[in-house]
Amino acid sequence: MPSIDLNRQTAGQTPRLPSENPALELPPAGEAPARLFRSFGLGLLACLAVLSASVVYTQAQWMPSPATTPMAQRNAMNLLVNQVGWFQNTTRTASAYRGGGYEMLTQQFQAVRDQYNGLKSTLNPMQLNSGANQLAELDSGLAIIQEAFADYQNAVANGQSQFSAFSNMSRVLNEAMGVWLQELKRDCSQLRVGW
Amino acid sequence: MRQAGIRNTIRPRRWLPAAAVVAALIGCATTETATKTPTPRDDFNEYRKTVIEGMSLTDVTLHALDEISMQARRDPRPAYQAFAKAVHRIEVDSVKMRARTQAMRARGDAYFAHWQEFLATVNNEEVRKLAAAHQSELKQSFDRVHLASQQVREVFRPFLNDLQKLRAVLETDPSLARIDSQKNLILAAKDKGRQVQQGLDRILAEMNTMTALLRPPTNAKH
Repeated sequence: MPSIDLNRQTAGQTPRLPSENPALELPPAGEAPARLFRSFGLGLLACLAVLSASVVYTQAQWMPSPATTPMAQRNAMNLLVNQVGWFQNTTRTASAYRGGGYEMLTQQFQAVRDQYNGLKSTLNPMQLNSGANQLAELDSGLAIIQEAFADYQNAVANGQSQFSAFSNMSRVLNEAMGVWLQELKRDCSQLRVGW
Repeated sequence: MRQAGIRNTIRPRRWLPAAAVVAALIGCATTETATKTPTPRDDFNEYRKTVIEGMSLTDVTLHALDEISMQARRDPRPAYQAFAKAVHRIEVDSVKMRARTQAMRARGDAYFAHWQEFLATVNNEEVRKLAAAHQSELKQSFDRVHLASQQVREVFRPFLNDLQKLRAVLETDPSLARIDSQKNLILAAKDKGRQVQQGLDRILAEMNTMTALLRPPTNAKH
């Protein structure tokens, strides 16, 4: 509050009492606390708004794109596990399909590959980096399992009966895919996929 | 005044919902990255275990192959069944080892970098220090493991091809005459199998060297 020097006079001016200085005028009785609270409230609201905005901004920066969320990963994982299950079921029943079992298995195997690629696309950069070895092994695992189809063709060419060669191939595909799935689940647990 | 007093008591409550919203937003912003952090895999011991399993598989298969020749004059059918079973087992159980070998080839030094990452996070401080101190020796051992793995990989597929061909040929007629007609194929398969065994032996020897480098010295006081 500015002090009033009664000794200092400018020409023609008489010192004004505080009550005569609009700047120093006290608000009417009752209005002072109201104004004070209003100012305080507005200030608090401004602070809260800034804080909320910074929190939301931080969240927006941190939050991964929707495709790599835990839910997306869980969904992709479920789809893949289901697809592997269907494939394994087909290996056990495909021999009953006249002439169509081989094609059915190749198509279902491709579906497994596609779902696996779908799962990989949901992994975030930390998981991709940390799990690079595991993912390379899973990739290679699928490529090696796929060799069973060529082995079947070679077995038939070498004189083995189609039925027997197909039966061998189906068993290898079924069991090898089971091993692959075990490795996948273990790797996904280590990489916190879906967490 | 009284009215102002009443207003005074009411107004602060107006900010409570906003404060609650902000508090909730702050709570939502809290991350729990600690539990979501992937844990490094013990690649080193995993690979060593896979190599030992591969050695056992190869031994069983070569033994079954020997049995076919040995039992050819008596009753080769049980020996053939055991051989066919061994071939099936090696087809399935070798997938893990082959996948790791292939991944190692595809990723090269980056594969080893992950081994080092794991070693840097091991609980045992002495092991961590040894891993840091013997980094170049470990890298050299890894390079030898890598080379031996490639050699095994190159001979394993032809070995498996020979086994599968033999299985196909002998399936309908595992007689002495048929076995005798396939003796060159049997010898070729045995030769390749021995190369696979030797390669796996080399890999295991290098991994044992690496294990020795990382083993803390025993405390004399104990």
